[in-house]
Amino acid sequence: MKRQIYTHKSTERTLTYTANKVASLKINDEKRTTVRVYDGGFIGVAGKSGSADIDQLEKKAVAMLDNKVPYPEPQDKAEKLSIDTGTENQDKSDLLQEGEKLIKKISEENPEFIFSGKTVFADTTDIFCSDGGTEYDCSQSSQMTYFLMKHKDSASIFDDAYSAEGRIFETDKIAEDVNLLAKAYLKKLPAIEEDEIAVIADISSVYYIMSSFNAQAYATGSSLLNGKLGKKVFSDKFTLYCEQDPRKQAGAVFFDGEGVVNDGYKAYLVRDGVMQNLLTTRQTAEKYGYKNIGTADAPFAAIPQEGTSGIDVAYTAEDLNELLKGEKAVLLSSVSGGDMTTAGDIALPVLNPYLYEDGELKGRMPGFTVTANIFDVLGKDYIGACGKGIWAAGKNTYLVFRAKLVNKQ
Amino acid sequence: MYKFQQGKYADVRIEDRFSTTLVITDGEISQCRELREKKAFIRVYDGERWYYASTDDVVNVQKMLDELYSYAKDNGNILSDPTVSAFEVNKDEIVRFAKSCVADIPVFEKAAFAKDAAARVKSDYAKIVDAAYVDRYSVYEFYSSKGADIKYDFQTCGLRLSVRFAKDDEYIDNYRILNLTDFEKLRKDFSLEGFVEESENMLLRSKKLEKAGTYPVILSQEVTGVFAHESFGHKSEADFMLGDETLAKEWTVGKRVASEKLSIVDSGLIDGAGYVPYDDEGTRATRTYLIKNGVLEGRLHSAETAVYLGEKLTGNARAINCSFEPIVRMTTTFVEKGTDKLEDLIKSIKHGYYIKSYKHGSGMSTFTIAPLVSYEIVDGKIGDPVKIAVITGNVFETLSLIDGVADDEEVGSSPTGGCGKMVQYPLNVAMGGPHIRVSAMNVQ
Repeated sequence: MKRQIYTHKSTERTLTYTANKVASLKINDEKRTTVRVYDGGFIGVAGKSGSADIDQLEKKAVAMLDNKVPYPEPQDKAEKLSIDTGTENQDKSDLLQEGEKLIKKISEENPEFIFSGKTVFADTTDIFCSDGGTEYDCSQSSQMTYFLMKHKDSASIFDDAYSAEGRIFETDKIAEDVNLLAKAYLKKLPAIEEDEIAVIADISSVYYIMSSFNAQAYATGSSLLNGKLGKKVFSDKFTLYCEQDPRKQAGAVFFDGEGVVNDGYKAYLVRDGVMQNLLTTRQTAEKYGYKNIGTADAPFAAIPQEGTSGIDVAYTAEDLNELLKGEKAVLLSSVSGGDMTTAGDIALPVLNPYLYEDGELKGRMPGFTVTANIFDVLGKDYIGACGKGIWAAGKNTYLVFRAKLVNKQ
Repeated sequence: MYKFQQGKYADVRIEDRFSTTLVITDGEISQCRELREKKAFIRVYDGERWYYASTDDVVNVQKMLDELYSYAKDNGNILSDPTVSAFEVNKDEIVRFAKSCVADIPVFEKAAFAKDAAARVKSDYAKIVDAAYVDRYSVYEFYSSKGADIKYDFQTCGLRLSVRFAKDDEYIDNYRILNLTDFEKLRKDFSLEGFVEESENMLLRSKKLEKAGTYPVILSQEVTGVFAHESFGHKSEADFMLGDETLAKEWTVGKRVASEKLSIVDSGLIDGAGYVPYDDEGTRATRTYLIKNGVLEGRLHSAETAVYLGEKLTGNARAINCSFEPIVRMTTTFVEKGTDKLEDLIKSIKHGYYIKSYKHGSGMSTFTIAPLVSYEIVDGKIGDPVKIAVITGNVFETLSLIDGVADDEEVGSSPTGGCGKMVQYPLNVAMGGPHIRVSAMNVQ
């Protein structure tokens, strides 16, 4: 019998902003331990939150072997690795004051709006160890801030939203971004004339196709990418991967849920337009005969599943100006629940499109719906991606492609 | 039980939760989790700010409570604070599910049920068959410094059968869901009648949408539910109105906001996923009309929002679990049935669409629903299945365009999903209504 233990510890401090004030402070300390055992081609799992007795958990996991859940035995490496990105969060006693200063600043500088939202400061440690001798641990600090902005004269529950995620609580940069968005929101522009234009989206545009990279979907012929593994499918400029280096992406863990560590801490799905790999666990990789690229999630007290954590695209330019080369574009903000048909046709209702021209947001236009096919978005209509352009705080990926506009308001 | 201090309000909420998640994929168990978690959420309020703590170390609740007390200021008038005054002081115990508790059913019985359901899908085109069985039994306790002392239990168990059907380069997804409060009833009532036929019809005969545009649309009971929840339910959550005079004025009770055929209700008293006899501030559940005959009739409240707007508490302060603070949320939200007959609604449409089920929905000033199963309606008859990415519309325009409400109300919920608001997802809620007809909706 083989055993693996995955432990996730987090200490969170959350500020909640309500109507331009810090309304609450929350303290949340959590520890979750999962024990997996493998025997005779089967897996058993048990977990506990809070302090855990590993021997007790192992007994429970062994009892779960009776459910005969097939899973290959791990071949864990005897290796010790550790990454600690440092605790760059401010001294915890200052967080409340920092939050108060931030909400005061943005509400005073943008008196037309009411702001609500949250800042979550998290210190996390993920530990994977096995009786095969593997000992990995990954510690980091991160922060996530979002604000819902509501114009004081508006009858909507909110009118636009801003978020920043990164390692440091960059209050000046967040305030700068919120001011930029608020000013652009207030500057109303006429409806867009073009029926087709370059649009600036975020990484969520590729989420629609992620389920097609699932190994089981692919193996059973029920993926949009059927028969395309190893083939050129997308634009030469399109490279898609899971970023697993916590020094490059806040929240990333350098090993996957099954203790796989990738070269350069990256798991590639598409490289230069060629579909290279599928999303697997050790179980689905072995079952269907694909390479296991180490993207498994480790759900608490549960069997590993295919994950898409840290999904990102390779940048093809330094910034938006280099990508667009003077061409005007539209930033898609407040996309209301778009979706894709099984033919790959996407519809994205955009409530707040902002005109981006000459390196700046010119103002807000009436809404419309973006329509495109996912293979065109990431193929012939793909302009590229970059990390700089509009927002100052946090890590940003701008995905730029050409698309049709319909249902103009 | 706990040592509450004078000069500050405090409450303690404890949830002891048992849950099972089982997934059968292609006849074998691919996920199996049985978990028991006990967590506590503690709140302290000094009249200016709330201080919260969440812990899975429930024996040390008093220690966490004392730590929060150290952050808060002393307030000799805390009991006359309007929000604190509004908190109900209920003492009650409602334990309804202990005798049929899902924690007492062996996991192999649950697995056998899910496997049997998956095995009933007989189709050459079924490529991935996932049967997800999910159950939960929770015992909640609530204590406050004002003297509240409440205990109640909650239970759901359900099956979601999801199948991907594929032929050549085409594929479609379809599902069947049933979520109840009793395992034996679930085992008896889960039905796949017509499922394979419907799915194969979708796979082999689905058309692309000929032309995106505005069409009359009929929404099924489950789609009516998500429409009511997303388009109007969230707007009825009064925490959006805190500190916002414009919204408070705009949403004056008595204002006409919809077609007079439309009435929407929220109630925590209905059995199922939205059953919440006491909310997470200890307020007793109520039945609240959000819209009655097209007129704004009420909204959903926590104690703080009820005080702010000078209205009655409704029992809608809820958290997804003891890691989070209660915020204003829905419970069971549904459109009340009308008097129309479904067949008459269909007959009245020359060219439009019938939206039978959905993948997801969302709503701000514009709502969006991504359909899963949709049909064209031609000359008053249901026609071929059609691939539609989204149906959208301006919320208020669409509410006014509801011109048919059938008499076939149904309420349901999902064992694997729920409602999301900010970072709190998924919250157990239920939703539904009858078939409704909307005279014009944007179909893409």
